[in-house]
Amino acid sequence: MAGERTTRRISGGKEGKRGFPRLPLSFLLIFPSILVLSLVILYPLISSSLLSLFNYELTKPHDIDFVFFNNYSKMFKDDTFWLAFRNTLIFTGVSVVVSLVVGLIVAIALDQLPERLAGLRGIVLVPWIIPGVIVGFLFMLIFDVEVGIANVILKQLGIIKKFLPWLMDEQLAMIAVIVANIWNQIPFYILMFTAGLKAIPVDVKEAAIVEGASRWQEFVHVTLPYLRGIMVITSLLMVIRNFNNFPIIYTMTGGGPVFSTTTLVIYIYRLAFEQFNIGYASAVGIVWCLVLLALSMVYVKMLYKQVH
Amino acid sequence: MFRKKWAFVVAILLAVSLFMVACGQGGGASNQSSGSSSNQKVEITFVNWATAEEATKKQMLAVIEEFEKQNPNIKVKNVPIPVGEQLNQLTIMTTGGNAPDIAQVHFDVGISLAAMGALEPTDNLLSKDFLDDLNKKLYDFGMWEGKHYLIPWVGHPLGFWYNKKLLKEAGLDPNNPPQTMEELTKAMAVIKEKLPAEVVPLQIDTTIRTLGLSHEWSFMAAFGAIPIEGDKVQATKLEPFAEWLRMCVKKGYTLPGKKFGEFRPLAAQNRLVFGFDGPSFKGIIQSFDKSITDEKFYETWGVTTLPVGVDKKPYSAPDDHNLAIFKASKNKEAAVKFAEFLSRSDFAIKTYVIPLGFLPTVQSAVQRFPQEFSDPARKAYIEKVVPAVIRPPYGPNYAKIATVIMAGIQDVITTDKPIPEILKTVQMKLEGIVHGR
Repeated sequence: MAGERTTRRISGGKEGKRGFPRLPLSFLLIFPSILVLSLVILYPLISSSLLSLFNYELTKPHDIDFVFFNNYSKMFKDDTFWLAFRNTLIFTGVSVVVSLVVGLIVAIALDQLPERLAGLRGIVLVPWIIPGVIVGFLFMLIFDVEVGIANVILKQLGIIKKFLPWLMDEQLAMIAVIVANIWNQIPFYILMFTAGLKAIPVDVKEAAIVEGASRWQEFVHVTLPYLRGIMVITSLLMVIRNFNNFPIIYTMTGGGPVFSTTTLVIYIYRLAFEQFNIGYASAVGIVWCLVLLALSMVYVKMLYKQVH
Repeated sequence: MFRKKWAFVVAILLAVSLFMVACGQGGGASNQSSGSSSNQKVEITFVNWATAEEATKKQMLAVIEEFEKQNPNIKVKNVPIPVGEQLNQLTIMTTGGNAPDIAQVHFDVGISLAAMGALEPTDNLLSKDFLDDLNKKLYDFGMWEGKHYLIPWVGHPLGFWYNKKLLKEAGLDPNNPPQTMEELTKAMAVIKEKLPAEVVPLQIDTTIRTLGLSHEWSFMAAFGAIPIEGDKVQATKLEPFAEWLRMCVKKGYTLPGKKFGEFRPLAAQNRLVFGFDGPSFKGIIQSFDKSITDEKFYETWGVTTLPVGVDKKPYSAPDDHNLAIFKASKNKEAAVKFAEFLSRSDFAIKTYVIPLGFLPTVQSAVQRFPQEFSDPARKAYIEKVVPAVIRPPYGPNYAKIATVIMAGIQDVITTDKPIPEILKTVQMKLEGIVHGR
């Protein structure tokens, strides 16, 4: 039925008078939005693809050459690019996995709350609505070597002996930005899982318990399978979002110390707007886009599979 | 069939996009001719950080207001942009065809913009009177490929501030600040031992920024070598400086990863002993704590040149504020008039330069306001610091150079990697930038 609807023609026949293919009504209606989106996405994409083939630095306007794929071959020999790529994977991977687990636990806990405490569900969403730049500033202060509360708490608990320079240590800086990011995005998982938990039929859960399943068995064999689709879709969405994460990292560390928290998006920004190497920044941007495109395709495929 | 339709739509979209890309390539800021009719009311856009900072905003707005009063045909559209974002914002504005008429810039930003071809050379724009009155050394710092591009506005070279009260508390002579780097290191050890842990001995910028490199440039020179001299790359010679800086961070003599501006609140709280900052240090500290009068300030702080190193010469870096006229400006004449007003007029000097602790950039200012420019700090700056100023290698590669060197410096202070190994990598990368390899 749906197939019939989408292929309904404005007029009959397969081709118009001049041989152009006739388009379905639904397509004509959606065309203006596709056109606008394409202009704001396709135009910069094509423009960047072209720029990536040039040796183009804004500070050297008289020294622009067509260098073909030189920027791409340079990229594969560029240590900082690979470091940024590795940092992106670490930042994204750890953020997504930890957020998923914590989000699921909190969502289950909130699901058990009595009705009179339902307001708590709204409160836990607060970190999600705070803009990334503000989250970055908040955590920059929390992890400050001098006045940061993180050091004070850890010292009180006896975990550390002296204040740690969180944002000026190559390993600690990455941990600090990931913690800030997780705090910011957990509510999204909670929201999605809470909705998923509400959708599980109560009688299925009760049937499992009646059949003698323990709470853990009920969780593993009933709840988790129902949430599996949400987990996959949410995680993919967050992988894409974290690949793009700029404000938290840039505000907290600017990509440092050295390049220890420089992700691809920060690296592109630095190349383009601090070093003005537009050609090379475009090449890195194109590679980054391809990775995101692949992830988006997987996401769309998953979504399509779930809908059908 | 459905595929055919998709292909058709995608082809249309691609064609439109390609058409736009093609049109876009030919665009860009066109060169506008200068000159504006004196009877016509013109508006000039002024990008600056003076009105973006609380310490200078009120005074700057008063100067703009006075200029508009004296020049009813010129309206100044004020665009405040934080100091750290000047380069990228001005670059975006210029490449987007939306360049301002005039902007406040540091030397590194100004020279980068000049190299981009965004600025108008100033020699033929400025009046002869004004040119004769300008501080020649400062004016020449703003040269790129044989032409002047920057108009010195306020002098702000970096001097060595010392906190007399804290030196006394640590049992050191408050009127005899360290004269050599060795004495400075010894003094910091005493301070760390005798004063509370919250006191920070030294202000030094270790961020990956052009300003970070400019701040450290004089320290590097004091330790015997600057990383680039002309076309010569000599990062491996930075070893004594790198060793010293690593030691400073390890022993807690300074706070790593801080911008030099972030040490100023500590100074206002009497928690900083040695600062390396411009003459506006006084005004900024007073803006943080209004109870600090001039008298109180000079009781606490003194200023001199940075302690000397192996060659016994003092060094300072220019952090001066300049004005740049943009090539795309349609109102260059009005913009130049405004620039001359800011640098030279009695009103601007009395309202902006003097109260905020800056140095004048025109020679006549000291003759016009002898008393105002004879306070202890400004006297020390004019007599000792200004002659010690050296120019870092500003140019189109300066941002890249700064990233490489400062990333190396951060590697030194945040890891235990062997310093020669770090400097060797820095050397290699710098050679790549400087010699285009």
